[in-house]
Amino acid sequence: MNPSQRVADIFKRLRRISIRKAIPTIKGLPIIPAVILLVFVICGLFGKWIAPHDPVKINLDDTLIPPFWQEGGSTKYILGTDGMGRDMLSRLIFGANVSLQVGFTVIVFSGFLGTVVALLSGYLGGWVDIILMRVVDIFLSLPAIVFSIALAALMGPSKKNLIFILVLVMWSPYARILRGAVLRIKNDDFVDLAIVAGASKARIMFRHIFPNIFNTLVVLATLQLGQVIIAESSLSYMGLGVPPPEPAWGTMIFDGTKQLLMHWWPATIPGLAIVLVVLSGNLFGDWLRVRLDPKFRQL
Amino acid sequence: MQRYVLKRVAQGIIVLFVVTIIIFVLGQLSGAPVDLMTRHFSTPEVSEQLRERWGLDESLPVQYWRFISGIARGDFGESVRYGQPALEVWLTYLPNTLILATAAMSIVLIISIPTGILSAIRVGGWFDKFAKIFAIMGQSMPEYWLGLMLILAFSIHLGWLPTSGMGTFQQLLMPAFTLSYYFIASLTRLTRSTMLDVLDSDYIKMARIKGVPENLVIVKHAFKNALVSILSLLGVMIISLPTTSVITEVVFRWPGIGRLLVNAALERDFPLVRTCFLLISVGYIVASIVADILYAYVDPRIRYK
Repeated sequence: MNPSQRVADIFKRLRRISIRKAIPTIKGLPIIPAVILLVFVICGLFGKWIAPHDPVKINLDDTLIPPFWQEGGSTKYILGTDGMGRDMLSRLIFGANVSLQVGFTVIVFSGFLGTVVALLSGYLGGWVDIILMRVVDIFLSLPAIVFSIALAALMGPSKKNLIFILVLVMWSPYARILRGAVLRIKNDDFVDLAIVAGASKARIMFRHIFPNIFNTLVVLATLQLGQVIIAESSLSYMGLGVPPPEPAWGTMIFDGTKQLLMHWWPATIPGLAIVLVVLSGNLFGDWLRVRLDPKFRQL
Repeated sequence: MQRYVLKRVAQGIIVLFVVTIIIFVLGQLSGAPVDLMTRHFSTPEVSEQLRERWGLDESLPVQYWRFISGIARGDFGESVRYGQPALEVWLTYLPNTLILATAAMSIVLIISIPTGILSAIRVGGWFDKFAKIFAIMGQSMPEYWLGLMLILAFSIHLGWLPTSGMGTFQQLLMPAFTLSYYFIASLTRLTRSTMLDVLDSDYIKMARIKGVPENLVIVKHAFKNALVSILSLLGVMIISLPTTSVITEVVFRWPGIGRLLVNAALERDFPLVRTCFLLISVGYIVASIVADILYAYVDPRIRYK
C-alpha cells in the first residue's frame, strides 16, 4: 500500500467512528436507547398499574415537594410533586401513555397514508402519479408548526384533533421517500415475473412491492417517533394539544414554568423524559437504518 | 429557465389557494365562530345581527368568494381582541420576528460552519466527539424546554440575563440562541459530513501533493466545494426560521408574529388566527419559491427535472 492509499484508508476508517460505538452495544444494537424505549413503552401500556399515585388528584397538602435526593424530599414522592401536589413520577408515567398513544397512532396513520399514496403513485405512474405528487408537494410546502397551531386553534384542543393535525403534517415525507423506493423496486425481475404470471396491479402492489419497502417504512417511522413526541409536547405546552387534566409531558412543563423561579423540578423533569425518549428513538432508528437498509443513507 | 420559474410560481399559487381553502373549510367546520365569540351575549337577536354583519348566513361558495376577494383587497378582517384590522396588527409585530430570525441566523452561521469544518479536520478527536453529541442533542430536544432550561440557568441561577421581553441585547441573546439550536445541530452535521466527503476527494490529494499549505487546502479548495451543499440547507433554514420562531417567542414572550398567532389561537380570535396563518404561509411559500429559483439558477440540473 503506498502512502496516499494508506492515508485514504485511515481517513475512511476514522470516518466510521460514530457515536454509536461510544454507547455499549450488543451485536450493534445500542443497549441504553433500546432499554429506554422499552421502559417508555411499558410505562405507556401498563402505566395504570405501575404508577405509585393518582396523577390527576389534586393534593394541596403536598405541593412542591422536591425530588427525594434533595432536602425536604421523601421517598413517598420519588421525583417530587408539582404545584398542585400531584406526584411527578406518576404523571410522568401517565404522560408516557399519552405520548405513546398519540405518537403511535400518528405514525401508523401517516405511515399508512404515505404508503398507499407512494404505492399508487410509484407503481401506476402517469396521471395518478402527477396528481398525487402535486398533493404531496402541497402538503410538504406547508409550514408545519404554524399550520398545526392554526388548525388546533380552529378545531379546538382535543386528543383526536391533535392526532388528525399531526397526521396531516407528517404524512407527506413518507409518500415522497417511499415513492422513490417503489420506483426503484418497480423494475426488478420479480415484478416482471408476477406480471407474466397474471397478477393484478393491486396484487403486485400490495403483495410484492410493499414487503420490499417495508424496511424503509419502519426506519422512517422510528425516526419520526421523536418528531411526533416533540410536536405533541410543543402543542400541549402552548395549550393547544392534549387538554388538561390528562397529564401530557408538554402540559407538565407548562405547569412547571410558573414554579421555575423557586422550584426547578416540575419543569425540568418532564423535559428530561422527552429528551431521553426522543434521543433513544433517534439512536435506535439510526441503528435500524444501518441494519435494515444500508443503501438508505439519504436520511 | 423561464419555464422553471413559471412552473414554480404556478405551483406556489396553487399551494396558496389550497391554504386558503383549508383555512376556510376548517373555520366553517369548527362551529359557527359567531357562537364562540358572542357567548357573552344572550339575546338571539344580537347573534342574528352579527351573523348577518359577517355574512355568515350566506352560502358557502359566496362566503369563500368574499373571503378571497377581501384578501385580494388587503382586508383580512378585524381582530376581535385588538379591534383593529388584522393585517395592521400583524405588520406591527412582523419586524420583531425578523430581528429574532436574523439574530438566530447569525448565530447559526458563526457557530456551525467553523465547528463543522473543525470536526471534519480532526475527525474522531475530542472536539469532533463533543460536537457530535451537541448535534444529536440538538435534534432531540424540544425547543421550548431548551429555552426554559436556559432561563433556569442564566436568569434564575446566575442572574446574568433577563427572562423575557425585547429591547436590549441581553434580552435578544437567549431567544436567538434557543431558536438557532436545532439549526446549529443540523448545519454542523451537514458541514462536517460534506467536508469529510470533499476532503477525501482526488483534487484535495492533488493540492496536498502539490505542496499547498494545509490552511489553504481546507479553506480555498475543500470548503469552497462543500459550500454548495451547505448553501442549500442554509436556504431551507432561512425560509423556515421565521415560521419556527413561534415556540421560542412564546417561551421568552418575544412580541413577534409567532406569539401573536398563539395568543390569537388561545383567545379564539379567528380573524387574527386566519390572518397570521395566511400571511406566514404566504411568506414561507414565497421564500421557498425564491430559494428554488435561485438554486435552479446556480445548479442547472434542477431546471430539467
